[in-house]
Amino acid sequence: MSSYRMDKIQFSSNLPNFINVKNDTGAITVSGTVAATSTSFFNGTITLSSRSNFFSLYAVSSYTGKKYAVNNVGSVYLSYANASAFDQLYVYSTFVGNNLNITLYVDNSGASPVTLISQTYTFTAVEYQLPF
Amino acid sequence: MSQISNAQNIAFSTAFATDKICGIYNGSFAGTAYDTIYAGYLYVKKIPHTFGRPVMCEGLFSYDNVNFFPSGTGYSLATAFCMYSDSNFIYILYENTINTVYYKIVATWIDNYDLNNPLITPVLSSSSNYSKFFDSRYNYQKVLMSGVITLPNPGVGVDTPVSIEHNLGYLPTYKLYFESLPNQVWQQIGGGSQDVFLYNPGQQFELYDECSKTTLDLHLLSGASSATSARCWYRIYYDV
Repeated sequence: MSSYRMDKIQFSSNLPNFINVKNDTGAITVSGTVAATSTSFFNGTITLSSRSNFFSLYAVSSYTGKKYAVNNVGSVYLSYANASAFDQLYVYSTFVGNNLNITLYVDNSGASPVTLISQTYTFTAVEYQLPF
Repeated sequence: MSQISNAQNIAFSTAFATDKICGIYNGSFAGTAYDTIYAGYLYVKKIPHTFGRPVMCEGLFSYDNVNFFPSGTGYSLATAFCMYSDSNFIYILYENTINTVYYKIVATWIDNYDLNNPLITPVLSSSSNYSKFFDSRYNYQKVLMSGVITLPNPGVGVDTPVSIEHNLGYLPTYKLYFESLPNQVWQQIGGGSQDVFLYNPGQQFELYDECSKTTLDLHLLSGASSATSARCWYRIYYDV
């Protein structure tokens, strides 16, 4: 293997690179009221083409119109209850076969109910691969 | 700037860099064969590297060597892995020591990490799959923008977002790495008390993001004894 000044390289056919495979999508709608000292869960599924590809998971909120990186963060800051404030919406995922089951949950530790802003999160798993 | 308007349809363009892969590591280890423990519950496996500086790491992990899932904190705790690197090691963080862990790790280079860009010898797997690295039938992931931004410590409980303008007119894909602790390049982590990888919340930073059609906004959250600033490295990709 040769030595390289990596900052001088745009692309090298001597090195592997990520290949975009496909994008997979799913959606979760969040709405309703979270009772005091309660947690509400919302679920959705994305079917991936392989369990051996890398993927990056993103969510786009229909309310904010913005994209959020999901799979590297245990929670995302989204405006779900108050249009002027950030709130913490937790997210985690589990696999069953090639299905990635995504759960969003709102943890209301306060003494009053929280009314959620009705919105749909469209999730996209951007799959890419290396020749492992 | 490139005159190409449909770069998604071509394998590669010299107008766009790719992720600069400098290391690929395949292997396995027994969950009990950890090197150290953080905060009494977070197990750490260290993979040595020879680059003399941190690299950006992401990994695929499996307990059966068939069904892999990527590193990141947004998974159920029994299967969650997170990674960071420093100048000498790649660190794998995990909670479940019951099983053998199979890993596939990709390390990508950080240009101008310290304004010293040495010659390096990439470390690639010995797998026979690495007989060919470019195939024009594929769409290689193209980097549209990349760089580093220094985020000042906003203070505990203070959210002062910092924007990176991209002005693309659409919502791109992107990756973020940052110094959750000084001189360590982490995958993005956040989630407060619900994030198991935030093992030292008094000193670690958390990083959140939100991306519009014009900016990528970064939110750095601080612990009481966090550093005065944290660098964040970003890559914004051409493809959506």
